[in-house]
Amino acid sequence: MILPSNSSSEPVSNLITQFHKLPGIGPKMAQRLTYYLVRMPEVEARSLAEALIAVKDRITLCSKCYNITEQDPCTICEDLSRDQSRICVVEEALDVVALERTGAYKGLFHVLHGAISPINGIGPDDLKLQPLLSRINDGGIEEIVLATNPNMEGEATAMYIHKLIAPLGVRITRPARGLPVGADLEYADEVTLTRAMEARQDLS
Amino acid sequence: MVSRKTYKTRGIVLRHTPIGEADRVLTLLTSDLGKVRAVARGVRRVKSKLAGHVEPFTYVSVSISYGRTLDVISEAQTIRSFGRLRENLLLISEAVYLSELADAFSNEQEPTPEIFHLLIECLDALESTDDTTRLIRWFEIQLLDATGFRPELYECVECRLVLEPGDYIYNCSRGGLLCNGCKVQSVEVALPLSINANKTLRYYQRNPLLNVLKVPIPKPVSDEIGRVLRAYSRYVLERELKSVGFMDLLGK
Repeated sequence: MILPSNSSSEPVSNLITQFHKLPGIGPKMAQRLTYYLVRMPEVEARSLAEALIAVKDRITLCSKCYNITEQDPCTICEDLSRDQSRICVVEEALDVVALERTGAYKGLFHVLHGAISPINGIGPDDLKLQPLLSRINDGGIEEIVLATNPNMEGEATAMYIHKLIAPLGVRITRPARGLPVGADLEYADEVTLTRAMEARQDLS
Repeated sequence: MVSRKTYKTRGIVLRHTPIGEADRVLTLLTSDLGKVRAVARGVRRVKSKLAGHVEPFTYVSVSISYGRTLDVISEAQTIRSFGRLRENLLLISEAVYLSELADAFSNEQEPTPEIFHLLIECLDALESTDDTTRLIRWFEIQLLDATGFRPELYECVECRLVLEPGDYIYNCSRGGLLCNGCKVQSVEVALPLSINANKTLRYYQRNPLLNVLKVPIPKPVSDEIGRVLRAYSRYVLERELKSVGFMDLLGK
């Protein structure tokens, strides 16, 4: 990797290289961050380093739902007050965070760690699908909510999973598609508008 | 200095790649500008006004402003969403395959209206036809035609002898059939092409899609021409297309 490294010291150029590997960080930004860290009080720099190591040391994937967790099984899977008969299938761990923030869903999760993307060569085998099948086969599951993204990749993933688990006889649902809060109707695309009209609800 | 700040065009979204916080880089195939790459800002956000208009294989009218490294999409309006394709997994995989092929065979700043019209025609037909395999074979052979890689099916590519009806060998590096005399000397990897498969290929090469969809072909012949066309495309592109695996997985 070619970096504008006019720094003579090896630790500095090494850190620049490391920052440059992060998504969205270019060579200039890597340099700026590094020089900021050099001037940072040692206590703060150490706590940053420790936080980095802790993430790698203490965070693993839950062996049941594949969410990122500190304890295995994760707090969501362990929480018996949650509805154990529903599993919400999402693409990424961040989607769990988003759904948890709403408080509208009280069941369990399953994180796929990706979506089927034929054009990038990502197929069903690259997702955590087998563990999902085993969880359903173990029994006690009544509903699978396919909350993959409402884009082409997410739809393809939902359809594939639907095909896969339809014979298992559980209820399979998908979150409704419709108009986002605070948006203008005129900017909505046909597909969203059509689905929103199809699923309109009575005012009560 | 550029005199205009924005330009307008119409194109089919071939692929999108996430970039930055909530943006995507789109690859559009247009009729007048060839392949166009531009950033669609904020399309991964729920309230994006662009998002629903720039999903893969949407035919969209866009207004694009010149950017420093990548141009930026400022407006997008769906012309045709090809929504039915998104409702069926096999159709998705096939539409992605057609898009990837069109992507691989076209270039930026090199207008190829033939490829554009071919793709529109095939996406349109994909929505309504039952036998999508014939459609894909026709797309493959017409695409090779449009890009200057038309397979030679009438003369031997080595000695230029007009071929009598019979079984022959298809040679990918030469882009055509070898007569029985020449095939003995050929050391390159080649594929057998039966008389029926050859007839089908010739028919597909010379007829519009409408005719092709009227004539059913037996599965072995269809598989055979599929193998030959795919091997030849792979040879021309020097790589395997990524969407092939998923399409084959579903087609089984």
